[in-house]
Amino acid sequence: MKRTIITLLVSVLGLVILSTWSLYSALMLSQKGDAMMRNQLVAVLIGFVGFGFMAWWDYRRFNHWLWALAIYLTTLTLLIAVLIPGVGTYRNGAQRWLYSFQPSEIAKAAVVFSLAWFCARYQHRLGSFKWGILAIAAIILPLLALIFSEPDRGTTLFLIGLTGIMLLVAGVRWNQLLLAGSAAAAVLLPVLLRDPLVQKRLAAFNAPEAHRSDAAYQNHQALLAFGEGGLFGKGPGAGVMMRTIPEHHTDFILPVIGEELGFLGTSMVIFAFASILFCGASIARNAGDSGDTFGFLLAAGITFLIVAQAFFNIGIVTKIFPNKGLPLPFVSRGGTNIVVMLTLIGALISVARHTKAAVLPLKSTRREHNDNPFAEFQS
Amino acid sequence: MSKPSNRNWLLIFQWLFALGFSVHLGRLAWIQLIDPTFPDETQIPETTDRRWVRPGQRGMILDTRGTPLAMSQTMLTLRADPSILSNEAPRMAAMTAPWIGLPPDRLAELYKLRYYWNSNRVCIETNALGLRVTNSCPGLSPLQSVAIKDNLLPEEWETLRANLRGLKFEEEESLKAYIKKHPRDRAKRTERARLSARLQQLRVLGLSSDPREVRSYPNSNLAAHVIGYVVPATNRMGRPVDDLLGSMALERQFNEQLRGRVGAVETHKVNNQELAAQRELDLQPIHGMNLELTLDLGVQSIVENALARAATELKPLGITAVVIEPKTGDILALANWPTFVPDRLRSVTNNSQLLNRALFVPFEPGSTFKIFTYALGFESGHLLEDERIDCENGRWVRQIGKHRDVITDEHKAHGLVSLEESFGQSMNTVAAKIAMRVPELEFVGMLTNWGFGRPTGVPLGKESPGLVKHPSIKTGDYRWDTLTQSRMAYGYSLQVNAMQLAMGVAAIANGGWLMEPRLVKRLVNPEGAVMRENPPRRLRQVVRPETAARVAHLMHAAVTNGTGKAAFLNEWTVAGKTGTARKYMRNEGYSTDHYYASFTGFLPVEDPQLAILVIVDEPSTAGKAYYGGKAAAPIFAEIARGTATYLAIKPSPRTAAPEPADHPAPASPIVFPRPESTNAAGTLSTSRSQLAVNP
Repeated sequence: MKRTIITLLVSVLGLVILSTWSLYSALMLSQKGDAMMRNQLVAVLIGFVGFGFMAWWDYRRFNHWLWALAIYLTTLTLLIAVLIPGVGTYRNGAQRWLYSFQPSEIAKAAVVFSLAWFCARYQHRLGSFKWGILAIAAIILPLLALIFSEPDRGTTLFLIGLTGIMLLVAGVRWNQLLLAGSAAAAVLLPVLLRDPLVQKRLAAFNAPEAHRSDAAYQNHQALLAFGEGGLFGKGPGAGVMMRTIPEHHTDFILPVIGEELGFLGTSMVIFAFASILFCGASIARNAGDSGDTFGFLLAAGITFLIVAQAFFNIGIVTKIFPNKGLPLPFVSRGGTNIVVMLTLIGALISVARHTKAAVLPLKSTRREHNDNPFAEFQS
Repeated sequence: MSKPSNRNWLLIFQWLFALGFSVHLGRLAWIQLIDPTFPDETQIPETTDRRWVRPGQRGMILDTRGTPLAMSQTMLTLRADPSILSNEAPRMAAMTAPWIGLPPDRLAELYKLRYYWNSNRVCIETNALGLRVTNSCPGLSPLQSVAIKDNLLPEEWETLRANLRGLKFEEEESLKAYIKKHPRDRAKRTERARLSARLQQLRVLGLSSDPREVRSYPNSNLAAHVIGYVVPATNRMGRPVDDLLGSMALERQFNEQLRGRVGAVETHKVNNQELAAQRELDLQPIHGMNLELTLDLGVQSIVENALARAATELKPLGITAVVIEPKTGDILALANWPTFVPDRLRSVTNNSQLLNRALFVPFEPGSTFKIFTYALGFESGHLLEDERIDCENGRWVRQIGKHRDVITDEHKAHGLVSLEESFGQSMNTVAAKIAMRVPELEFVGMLTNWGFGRPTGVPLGKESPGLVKHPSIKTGDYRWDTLTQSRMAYGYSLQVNAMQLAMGVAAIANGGWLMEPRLVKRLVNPEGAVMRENPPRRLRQVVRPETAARVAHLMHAAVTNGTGKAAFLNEWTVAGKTGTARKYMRNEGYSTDHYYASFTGFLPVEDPQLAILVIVDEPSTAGKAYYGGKAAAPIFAEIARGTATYLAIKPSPRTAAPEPADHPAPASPIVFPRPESTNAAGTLSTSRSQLAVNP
């Protein structure tokens, strides 16, 4: 378990260092680059404080309805507050920010926490449609509805997917979930497909050449940046093509790494996320083995939350999926994101630390005394 | 207890994501290594290699009190980019005109798009093989830089830039207001972003500035010959480079120390933004050192005023004056007339304005040189203090082989005369006799020891060292003949420069020490640290203090009772000697109407603080004002009085200064000759051997 924790820590630290470095490279020409960089570093520091705090605390304290309710209600309040005109900040065509703070990032953590608590608490009833689907829908839907109306469709879809994964892992029947999923799709798809932005992005994905100057521009420039990088990249700070990518310091940070550090850099990012995936899954399994469902679900939820974001982000910037705004955890610029992600990693390590004793049987340092004089011949 | 299905789903998703990541890895390998997408030229951001120079400022030249004599300032040249401004030329002209201070229609004209023939123009073409290649295709390119205004102060440019950044455009303002009302109108937002980008270009890139170093000399013509001037430097091809080159005097001699070293930045820019991390060169400029002189601007202005005033009266070819502090050898003032204004070189009409006569014009000093003859007499022991010498009734005729040599005096005396009288009345006969008592080699050796015939080392250029003949040279133009020594006795047959003369007199004043003339006190770097100190330096003791005191006494007597009465001052005791030398003209020999009038002396006698030399080159002969005592002595008096007052030199005690029989009225600084004192024209002979005019 110790090795797992160390591998996890090394991966996360490596990503954070890579993030700081590539963000500097990406931001150094921006007009307010230094202020952005400073804010990011402050956020990283706050994130490490949260990380240490969570890693030190026993995560089982959170396995209480009061905590779950508090986290849930706080998130709900923030999500409502962000929609109030004058309180929330309208930027880039969406109302997602309270000043520089993004409640939908908190909502990701809140979904994981409340689902973990709920599913651990009502484990035995999850098999029924009433508890497994309807009750959970009642919990999740208000959050999703609020995020959807910001509008932040990408995060909504992502959270629906994450909920699905968590419920499956928690033991909800897959056929019931499929039913619920189809119902959700039936409601969401027409809405999404009528959205002009989604239409444009899908069209751009299908016919990138035709939309190179608008909807496919970002993706195309990202491909150029990746291509410029080659195997070893152009070197730190030497990226040129990446500067033409809109949002190259947030969602499209990977092309920056791709251009400046080459394939070596990008593959290191992928290995880092893969190791987070395996470490997280191993921690979750350990917690499950020690009989702690809350720990199991929490660890699994956190792992998939991080890994799925990374998976979709990398898929989007490499043009496997159509364009949708999702940050690359630990790497993209975004204060709330990095604080929440580091805090969640803290919780993951807390799970690992506090289930260790239960998983491994205590090894006695002394050899057990055996009265049988023929003991050594027995085996 | 978690059910087994949980762990299965966990495993399934774990491996699904792992599979996903390996797909990503493959995809990245594909797009980065195997089949990378290459940009066409329209997609490459405009990357430029930029190099710009940070000017290093030339150091200042300061006088002894820290007053700047020469200083550098960074001025800016305002430039416009018509390729950006031309779309909005009339509007931008109207808006910027009040800030720039040019009429709007003139500005609009400057902002208009123009083309120039660009022989380095580059274009991308498709060649016969269908490949896109970069070709050079000379043609018309839009002009991107037009100088609008020169000599803009950096602060003015900062204000102008702030004003430009704050420029408001109606259409943008109305769009802003609209968007504030309808925050979700995407189309208008896009329109506004496009407009803002265009207007921002106007605000930021439309006008720019180039730094340029401007050298200024705040004191007009004061000490012009000491400071010199600068010209724009050029490279080997004769193209101007961004530097100044000192071309005269200190600016030239200390060019390397004064000039700053430019710093430079070499960097890459992408979309006009600098890749700061990619700087290839980042050199800070080194500013030049400051030069601190011994020159005192107050003394210098007193001297130059006196010269200018005298010049209007005497109408000479030129006047030179040097003021020296005898104890240190510091040059307090060095002035020449005619002079020039370093700031306005174009107004120099005659090259003689640029001539520093104090160092570059050797001349025969005439009677002034008797100071050294008498001193050598005393020093060598061939002349006694209370001796009386036969003056041959003012006409000493010698038969030397076939030649008959005649030395005449203007002052008529009979029989034996005292040294005071012979020196005060400047008798050539007596001086010649004294000189001829001293052995040739000793005489010449002592003069050379005194610094004559050698450069003084004032750092203003390659000075003319003068000429002292040597007894060993028997042939040629500079040969030593039987007459040489007797001529040298009263300042002919040798050449000196004014600085040598002044330093020689300073040696009498300070008790026999020849000092090194000191003009540059120290070199100080811009942070104030002393880089090189030049302390006062004694070269050697040329005469004993007693000898110096005896000569000083004679010189004092010459001012109180002799030919130098015009240099008498009420407050300070003055020692001095006049000189009137006939110029040797190329075709006519020693001229009868071209003279050097000179006066050299020091004050106060009991504790000399100032040694002053005044030389007037060809004073107007009208009114017989060409004598040293008439032309140069009043200038000396004016300089001495002004400088002593300015430097607050303690007045001499009354008892030390016996009242002269008739001394000039102190009200008028320059005293012009009374008609009755002149009958010299008749006595001046044109014969080769009769050279001197004594007083």
